[in-house]
Amino acid sequence: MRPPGWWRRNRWGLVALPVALAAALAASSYRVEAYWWLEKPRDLVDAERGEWVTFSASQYDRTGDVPFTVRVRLDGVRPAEAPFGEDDELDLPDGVQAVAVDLSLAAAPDVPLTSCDLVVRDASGTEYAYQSASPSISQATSPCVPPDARGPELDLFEGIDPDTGPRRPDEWTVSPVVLLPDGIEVAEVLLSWGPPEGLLISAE
Amino acid sequence: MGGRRVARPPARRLNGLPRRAAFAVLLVAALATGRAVEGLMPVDDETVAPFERTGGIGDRVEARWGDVQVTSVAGSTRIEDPYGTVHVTGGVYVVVDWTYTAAGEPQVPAYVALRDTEGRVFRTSVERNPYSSGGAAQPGIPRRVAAAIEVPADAVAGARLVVTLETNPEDHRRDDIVVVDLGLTQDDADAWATSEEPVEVAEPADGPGAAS
Amino acid sequence: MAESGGRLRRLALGAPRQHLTLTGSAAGAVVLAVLVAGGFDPLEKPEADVAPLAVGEAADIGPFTVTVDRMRVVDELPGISEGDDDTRVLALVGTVTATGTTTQYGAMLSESVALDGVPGVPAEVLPGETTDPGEPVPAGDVYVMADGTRLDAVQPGLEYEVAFVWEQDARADVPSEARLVLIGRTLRQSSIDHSDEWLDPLPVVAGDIEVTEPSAEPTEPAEEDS
Repeated sequence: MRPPGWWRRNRWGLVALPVALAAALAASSYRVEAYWWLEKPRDLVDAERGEWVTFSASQYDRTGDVPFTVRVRLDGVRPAEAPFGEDDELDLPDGVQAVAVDLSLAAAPDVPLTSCDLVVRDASGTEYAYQSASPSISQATSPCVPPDARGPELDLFEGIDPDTGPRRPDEWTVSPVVLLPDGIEVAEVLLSWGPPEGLLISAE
Repeated sequence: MGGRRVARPPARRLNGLPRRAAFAVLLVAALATGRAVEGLMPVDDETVAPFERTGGIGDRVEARWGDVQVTSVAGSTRIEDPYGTVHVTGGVYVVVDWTYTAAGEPQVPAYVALRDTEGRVFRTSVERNPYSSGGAAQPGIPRRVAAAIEVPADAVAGARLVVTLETNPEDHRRDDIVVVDLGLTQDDADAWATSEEPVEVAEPADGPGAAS
Repeated sequence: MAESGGRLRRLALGAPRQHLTLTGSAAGAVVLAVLVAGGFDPLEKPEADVAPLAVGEAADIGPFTVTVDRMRVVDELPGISEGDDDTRVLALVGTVTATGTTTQYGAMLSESVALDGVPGVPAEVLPGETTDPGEPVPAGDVYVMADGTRLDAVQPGLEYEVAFVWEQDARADVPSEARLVLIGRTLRQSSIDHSDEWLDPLPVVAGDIEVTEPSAEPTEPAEEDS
């Protein structure tokens, strides 16, 4: 009788091989989450300019996860006249333009929404961030809430009451200002209250 | 010799076991050889070395994260930092004005140092060796910054400016670093080591500025 | 209680032989695993030899060479400490150089020079912090004598004349002598990220230094730059 062939002798090993490979890759992939997935907003909700979109995500603080829901509408992107929340005139260096991103938002007044990041992208994907303090501009720290009625903060520090200021309205508008080089057209606006979730709104 | 008196083992074991043992020995030897070769060769240093993007004064040196252009270099035994404080050194303060333009997204060149011809590295600090990036620079908008670093006078000639994003040198592995030859000579060192005229360290500012 | 103790004893005494061998092999495997992982290195820090303090002589403490010259009580250090009614300043004057080829930051320098057992030092303990009275107190800050600015980075190849500064509670007596401890470090590979770092702080030099009071002190040398 012929001895069983190589394939037959090793059939269980062959069956286990893809499983073992997948398990090895999964076991060595923990850095993908820390260094890639959580690095920037990756889990994006898409929206169009002029339409209300409901965005639900989660932040976290001392109390644990803080899920929230906010409704957002991008009203438009226009040349800015003043920094967000400041009365001073813009004093821009040569070759720099300032755009105001007009947003309408709606959320329950007890939802902490101050810690948000706003980024605009051009058609090639280059990102320009909202900055509250830079050598060329000084404006409100949060681009997402009314500077004079920010609503509650995340409960980050023991002994500091996270909700002190005036009540935030149920619906409000903001016009954060982003600096870009001259000649750049804003294609998309990206809002995030912490990666990986984000809201990507087309500005066209 | 006790072995002679022992009954001969079955033929199968006689053929099978030494072959397996030999295979195991060969496998271990191969692994050990690989480990020894790896230890002898500078594999680690070579594979994790950063990519040096080099240039001189006035060159736009391009890196993965943007470009760096040194606009001017000055020196003295004294500097005046942006807060008006005068610092005095027993060596030489080298003050480098340079422009940084981010690529892709806002970024901060947080690591700034002078490297001398002996390989010594002189990094910026907050007070004694003032450098402020002004925070992340928007892509495409040039950011003008200044760094003042105190070095011994014998480190001036041939010194290079090293700029990259990560403050921890361990994190420079396989990343781009910009290395600019400042074109300094012993004459510069001698003149600066005796100069008592404070060099002003400028605050960070946006825009192309007057220099370019 | 008695019953459970009895059960344990019975378990221990009456455990069959195989279990013993099994336990033995398991223990052997654990020892082997620990050895392979590089274990059994002494966790206890080795006791370094503490050399006596020699005023005016350079001491190599690892990242720095420190020469201690004199210690005095300062009512105020222009631009540094406004010595008020509650505190006075103890300033240790000396010279410092970095031994390596790269910048060493000032935090490590001020941690390297400590006062041991001087009453009223530290002058205040922040709420939530505790200090062990037996623990030497590192210098609060280090200032460059030439210009009175804080030394937050020591560049290689330069010698700095500096003042290490402690605040003392003014209610405590001015000491006539203070016990100074220089804390050394060793350059070794960190077990966390395998980078070379100055680690294992240990006292390497200790001894008493005379403290001069402001009244007893001759006119301040014109080292301050105005």
